[in-house]
Amino acid sequence: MSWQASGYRAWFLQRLSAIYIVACLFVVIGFLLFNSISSFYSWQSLFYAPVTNILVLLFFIAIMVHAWVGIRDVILDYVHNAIARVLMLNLLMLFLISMAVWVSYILFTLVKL
Amino acid sequence: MTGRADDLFYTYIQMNIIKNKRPKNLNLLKIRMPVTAVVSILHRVSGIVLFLSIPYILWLLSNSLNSVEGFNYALSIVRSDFGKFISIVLLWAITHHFFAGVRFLLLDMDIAISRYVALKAAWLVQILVVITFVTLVFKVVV
Repeated sequence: MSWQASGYRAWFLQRLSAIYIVACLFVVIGFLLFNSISSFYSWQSLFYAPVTNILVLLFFIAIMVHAWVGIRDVILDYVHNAIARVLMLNLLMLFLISMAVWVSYILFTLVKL
Repeated sequence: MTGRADDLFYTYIQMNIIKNKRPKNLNLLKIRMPVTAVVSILHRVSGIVLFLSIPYILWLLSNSLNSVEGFNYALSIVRSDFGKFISIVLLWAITHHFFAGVRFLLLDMDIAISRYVALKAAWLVQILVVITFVTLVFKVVV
């Protein structure tokens, strides 16, 4: 059975994104234990460095990938009509891509080289 | 060797399977589910809740990073009663999704997979979720 047809790819992406999301959340919790965000400027300046910016973007991409596999599974479980299923999967993909484009726009406009 | 009566019996069963007329009793409110099933269903529910919160989170992020006014506006939303309610729901969802998710990762590695250990692990997940959730609500929201 191929990598894609067996569902192994979805399974693997689900786990990989989960681990990255959890790692990011622990970094954020660790940061918040020792620092406090007092003003708009200290909050905004966190996103200036390209490295942080891209790591935050990767965090959101990981969430979109994770949500894709998870909600896809929910749709496959409960929607049995083929047309409705294809329609919902496409809407889901459209929604997640829009969210990814939006978050890229939010983050990239802040980068200061 | 099967007799004619048996043949008829199996044909009858097969016809009912084809017509999908097998008796069903799937009233979820009447079935007593093991804790593992509850944890699994709540993992799905919390995942859907978190998925639905993506636009809200991005909207807050966008506002808060845009300007001083946007930052204060986002803060006022989060600090309003409705914002606090949303935050409490999302804190439960992320806590449950995290602990139940870790349990699924361990199950993938064949850890805590036998029936009795699995039941205990699922109870442990429920307890950890309650403790962490209550702590987070008092630290972050209240």
